[in-house]
Amino acid sequence: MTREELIAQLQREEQLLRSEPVQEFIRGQDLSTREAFVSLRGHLTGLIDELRIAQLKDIAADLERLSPDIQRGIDELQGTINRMNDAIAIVNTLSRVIGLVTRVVGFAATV
Amino acid sequence: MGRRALRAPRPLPIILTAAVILTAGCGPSTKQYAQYGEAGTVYAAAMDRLLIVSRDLFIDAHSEKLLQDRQLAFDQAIYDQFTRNDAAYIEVAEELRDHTRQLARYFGLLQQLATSDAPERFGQSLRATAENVDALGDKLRGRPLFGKAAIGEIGPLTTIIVSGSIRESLGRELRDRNQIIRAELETQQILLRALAAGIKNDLENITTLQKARLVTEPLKTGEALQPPNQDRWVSNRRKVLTASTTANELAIAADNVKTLQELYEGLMRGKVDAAAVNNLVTDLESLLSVAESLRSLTGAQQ
Repeated sequence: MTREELIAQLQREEQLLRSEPVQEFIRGQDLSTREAFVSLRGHLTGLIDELRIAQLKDIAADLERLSPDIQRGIDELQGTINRMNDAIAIVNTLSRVIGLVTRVVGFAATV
Repeated sequence: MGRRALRAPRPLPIILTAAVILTAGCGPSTKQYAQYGEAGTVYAAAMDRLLIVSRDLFIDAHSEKLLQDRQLAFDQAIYDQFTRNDAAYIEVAEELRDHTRQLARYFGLLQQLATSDAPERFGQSLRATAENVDALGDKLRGRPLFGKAAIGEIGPLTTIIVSGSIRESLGRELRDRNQIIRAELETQQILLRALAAGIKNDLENITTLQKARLVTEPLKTGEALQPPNQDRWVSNRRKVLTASTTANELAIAADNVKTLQELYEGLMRGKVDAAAVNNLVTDLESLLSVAESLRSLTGAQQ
């Protein structure tokens, strides 16, 4: 039985214990029986919780192992975008400088 | 002779253009990369919402169970255990959300690069520079360096070259991280299925317990018959009865990541069906709407 199957099996048991007929039946019992039932049912819920949390923690750990490589991908994509923007900025600056030089040359020619 | 020699060498742009066009003929287009990036971005957003819904339903299910337990007896140890488990679930959900945010950033950058207007901006910048160089040459030597015809080719040519370079970067990115992306998408599929199963179970518990607390009990005791309570009781009954139907839609959503995997495999082979991408985006957007519905459905009021 896999962990997923165990969780599903325990969840079915829990749903039965939390159904309206069972709740109504236990309601009619004495306090010590009700307390024992609440404790046992609560522990079953707690066990299912722990299995579900452990399942998600394992998935989170698997994803965490992939994180550094995903981050490298992010850095490289961002680097490519930045390099393109930088290149455009450099060309724009160069264009402005040449435009300025042209105006200076034009001005010098008229003096 | 001098004027002819100063003209831009025509064979070079033609060869470059031809090379870029030939290279561009293989593999996916930037549009396909952009669509894939969009699908991944929408997926990450849907996953984030699902993680929030899953966390909230986990806590709400405990609250309903504690209310049910209190009808029988109070157990401090059980209350403490549920609260500890809530905290542990919140913690792991946040870890998963952190990773989802990273994934969203990755897909977002992929899309940003694929839809970048840099080729056009680069072309315009180079053209403006060439025009200024021509104007300067005209002033210094009495003749332009490039001439209008050559300048006219600079913009489109640069656009094609930079577009090809972007496609090459996108292709390299997917090739370099091939195994990682495959492992990521497989794990995401496992996560989505685990979340869908958990959400479905919590929702079933919540609706069963809410049905008893908000529907059956008020009707038995006559509390629901009081005029101010009647409309609320009707509304709660509808919410409780429709909640499990909405939860079943999550089972369909679990298959979407498989489609994202298939989409990735198609992209790697240079064969991406644009319709499949659009369908996936539509499915994921409907997943988001299911997640939102689940949140509002469990908001039944007493």
